Amino acid sequence: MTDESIMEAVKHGNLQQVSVLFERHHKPIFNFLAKMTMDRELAEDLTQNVFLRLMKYRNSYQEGKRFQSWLYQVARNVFSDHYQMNKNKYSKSMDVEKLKDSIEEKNETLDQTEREILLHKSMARLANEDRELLVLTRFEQMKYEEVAAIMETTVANIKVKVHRAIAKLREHYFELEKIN
Amino acid sequence: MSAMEKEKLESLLIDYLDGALDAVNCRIVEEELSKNYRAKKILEELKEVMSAINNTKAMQSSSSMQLKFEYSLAAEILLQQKPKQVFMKPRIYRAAAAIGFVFMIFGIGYWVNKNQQQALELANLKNEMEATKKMLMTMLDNRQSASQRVQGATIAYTISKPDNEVVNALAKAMNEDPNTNVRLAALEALTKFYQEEHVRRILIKSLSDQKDEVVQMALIQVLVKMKEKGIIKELEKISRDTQVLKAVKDEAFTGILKLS
Amino acid sequence: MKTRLMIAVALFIAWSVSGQEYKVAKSSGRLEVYIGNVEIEGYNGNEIVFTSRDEKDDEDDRAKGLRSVNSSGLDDNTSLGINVTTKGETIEVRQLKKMNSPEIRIKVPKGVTIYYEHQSQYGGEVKFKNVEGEIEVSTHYNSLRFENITGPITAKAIYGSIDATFGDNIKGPISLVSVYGHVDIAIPAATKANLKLNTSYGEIFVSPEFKIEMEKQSEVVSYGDKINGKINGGGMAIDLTANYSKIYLRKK
Repeated sequence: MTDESIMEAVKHGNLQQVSVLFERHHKPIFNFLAKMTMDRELAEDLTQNVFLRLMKYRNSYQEGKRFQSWLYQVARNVFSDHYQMNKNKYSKSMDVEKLKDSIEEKNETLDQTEREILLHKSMARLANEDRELLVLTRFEQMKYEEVAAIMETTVANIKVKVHRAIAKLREHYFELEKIN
Repeated sequence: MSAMEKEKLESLLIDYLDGALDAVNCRIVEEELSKNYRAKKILEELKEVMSAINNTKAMQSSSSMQLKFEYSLAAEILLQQKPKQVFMKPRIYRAAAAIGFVFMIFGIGYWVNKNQQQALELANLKNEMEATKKMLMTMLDNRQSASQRVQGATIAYTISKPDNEVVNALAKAMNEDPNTNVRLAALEALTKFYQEEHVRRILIKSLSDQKDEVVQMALIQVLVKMKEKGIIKELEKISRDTQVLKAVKDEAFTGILKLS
Repeated sequence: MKTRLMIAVALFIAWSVSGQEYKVAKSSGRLEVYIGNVEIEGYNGNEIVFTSRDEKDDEDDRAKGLRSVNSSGLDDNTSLGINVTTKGETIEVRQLKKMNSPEIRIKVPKGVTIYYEHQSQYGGEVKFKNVEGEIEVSTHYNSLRFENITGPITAKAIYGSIDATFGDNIKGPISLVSVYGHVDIAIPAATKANLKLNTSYGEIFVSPEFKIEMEKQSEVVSYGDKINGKINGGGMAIDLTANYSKIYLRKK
């Protein structure tokens, strides 16, 4: 069964099928939200919300639309709702510390871990939109076409924005490296 | 090098690293790299950032996540079906559902420690009420679909003690909704809470404000059944009003007889 | 260039008026109908098609070359005696003459929701057939007949009666109210529903196939003759009210 046909079944009242969609997609969605929020526990909660929202707003799923695009649209909304509600907490510094736990240190050199923390700190400095684009295209390795479908814009536009975001990330990264 | 050029160069370098350039552009980039020190530096930096990205491991969510989700999903489905099914069920069913719910919370408790468990329990019960309320208000507000609004009003049957926000939303629907069927459904829902003083007052006030004939009739019947003698004056006024539909007048007249 | 041509073609199709037929290309959105005599039929297409049901030819030779003008300020832009106006996602259909409504048939794509309203006493029976979208009706004098519809539906009539047969893929909620007319509906035997049947001065008849589990009335104020109960374990809301007349609930 394709995701699309499962979603259509959900739309027609077979709500239990949402759990199949959860099983198939919760990992990338969790990773997306973890990198957006920099908070692992929160990302788990939000991931749950994404799939519950999928069910609640099932009637707004347009049949024939690519499921993955819709799923990420819902995920983006969940994140942005959360962000709007907790704006003040995010205002200055994203708490990269919380994410540290999840970076597994055991089999890696110290250098590797440090670089990863540096990377996440630089990511945290980016605007939400830039961070989102990088998470989708570089961390989750989605094609520009797929991201364009999610954001409902053109591939060319996405490419330009991603390139700018990478440039900004590079600047932050080496700026922070200097400080350290 | 101007900013514009720098942006263009960096964009080309990213494509270069991605292997997204054709032969011609590849040569252009390589030529630039051979003579432009800054370009080379940017390329090295980009390489490092990108390898850092590629070396990040996917994060693992906790193993209980799927299970937790199954529970929330079950609770949510229960909630979704309520407006359709639960409101007619005898109390015992509702009690059973509540007990089932507590068991579910208990089940989750295996994966969370005890303190969190209590917090979760409270949060879930509160969420459930909030979710029901939100659903009711959202559906009552759906301008495009009268059926959705009717359904919204019937959600009120799942609420045992309504707060002011819910009562006011229902009152507004009863007095102002353009659709008769929606007004009736809202009246029905309010009738369920007739023992609340606030709701009684709303029903009595609606009798003089109500413009919809069918709702007027239903409202008179409800108030008469509630033995609300205070409405006799209003009923007399209605029974004398020449603008009013005959059926409404008859209803008012019957009401006067029953209440006096 | 290509797109411009396509737009031109689309416009041509949308507004082509061929004889006594008028079409609007639309397969979703909302159709609002304010005419006294009409038959609305759902079909698998993507245009709303208006035709005349009038057999008689009432062409006025004297009026040739003149334009029909009326107090409502509406044009007969269809040559059918009705005005059809598109406002965003809504298509409004109005009659030009106050009293004599032309007899119109409208074919409607399945994705379109239908709103019908008519207050004046100059109208006839209004019929809806094979409609799968949502229907909302508010009328004073017209009788309403629904054939093979699915719901959801909300309908109110003051003086007219309501007759409805539902298809197998019935969708709630269903709310039908008539003050002076009867309400007569036929639903599939397996329909899971919460029933509310309500009359003040009439009677209620239910087919024996439906075993109604009555709800206890102790909690709620009841009035008139009222049945609250479930069939087949409960499900969608079916509310029927006929204050002064009879309610019939039949098996389809």
